[in-house]
Amino acid sequence: MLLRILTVFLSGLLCLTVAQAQDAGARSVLIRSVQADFVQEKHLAILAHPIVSTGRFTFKAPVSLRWEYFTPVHTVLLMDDGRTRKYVSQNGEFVEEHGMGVDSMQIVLQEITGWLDGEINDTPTFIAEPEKDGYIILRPRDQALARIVSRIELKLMGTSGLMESVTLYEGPESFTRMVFAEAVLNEAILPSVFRQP
Amino acid sequence: MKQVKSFYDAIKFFSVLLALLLLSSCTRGAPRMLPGMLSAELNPEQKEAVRQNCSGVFVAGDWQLVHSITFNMDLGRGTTVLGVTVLSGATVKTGLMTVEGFVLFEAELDAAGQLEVARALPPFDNRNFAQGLMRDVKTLFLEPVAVPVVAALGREGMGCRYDVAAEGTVDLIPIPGGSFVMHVYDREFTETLSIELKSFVTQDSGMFPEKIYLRAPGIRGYTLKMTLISAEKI
Repeated sequence: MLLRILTVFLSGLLCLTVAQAQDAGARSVLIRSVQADFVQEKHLAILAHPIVSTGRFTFKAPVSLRWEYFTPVHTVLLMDDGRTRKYVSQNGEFVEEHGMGVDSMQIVLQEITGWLDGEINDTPTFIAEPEKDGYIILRPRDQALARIVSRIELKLMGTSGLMESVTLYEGPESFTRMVFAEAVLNEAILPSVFRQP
Repeated sequence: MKQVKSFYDAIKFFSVLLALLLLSSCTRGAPRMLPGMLSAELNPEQKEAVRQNCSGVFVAGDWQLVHSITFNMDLGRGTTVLGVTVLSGATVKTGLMTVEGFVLFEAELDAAGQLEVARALPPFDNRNFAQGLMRDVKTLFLEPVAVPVVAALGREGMGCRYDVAAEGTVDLIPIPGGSFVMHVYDREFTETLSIELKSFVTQDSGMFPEKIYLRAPGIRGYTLKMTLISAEKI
């Protein structure tokens, strides 16, 4: 559940605009919704082969989110109207997981909305360092968090204003890379997408 | 900085929650004691066939296994994580991570029994937790270092008994339908683990149980439901 806290707030980065990324003084492009498929690779020192996951991310401003993994375990995280729920597929049926820390998710939501409405280097959690070739490095301000996430590497998708990949480094040999594809910006999304698994 | 602190607190909250799930009691009643052994009325070839059947339950060679693991407690509450097990000879490497890939625990137990914890978020940074987890993983996948005795083991019938001098006793009993049940007892003959291994499948030329139900009885008991996601030869 811990990574959910991190990856979900990372999901806000999918909506980061090129203007935000390349020019801290630029205003945000209005983001109404974002949808994208993703492939996630987990690399770990002990792993001979990375663990590959696939899923789909759906966001609708201001604070509706569907973060779904299809494989290897079908899970759905829903955030809508101030409510956060997590479901896991068991024997073909979704079962709600309890005790997932709704309060924690509110913190996540603050991060997401912060990235959407403001500048990336304004976040109280990370320091943003724009780099060449469309990369941005985020480093945690807090040492306690740095022990869990050493840095986050963002790769922008050309000039589309969308993210191509997010790589979260936990340590020298441990990282999680999410590569996004088939991204769709500002398309209408039914409310039920954020309410039902 | 307040938000950062809240964020870190949230992470700690989840760690504590998961630890509680791990440690919460969901089993009751008197502990099971090691049953007596009755001589098996089998010829040597039949006994050898039973032994080989037992040995086939354990992993031989170098493998990477990935399971989804659901920790359960009373009132139907539970949480699901991914478990990674890398077996190389007698060396066991284990990682516990969220479905999203965030590593909660990573450790290695070498052939000499030396434990090295590479990562353990609080409160998993507890030596007893690490030792207990690695013991469970070793029990699940590696055949005990002992010659199994084929005998009738209590009500569950014919099976293999491994008497491991320093650790205790492991009973492995085939049950109808191709499944197995395993009981692990300490040196005081009290059961410490009960494991069901079900629905064996072939992956990458190896046989593995697709479903594993592990129950640790007692005040700090827990149940785990493990589902095989992948088994890859390395």
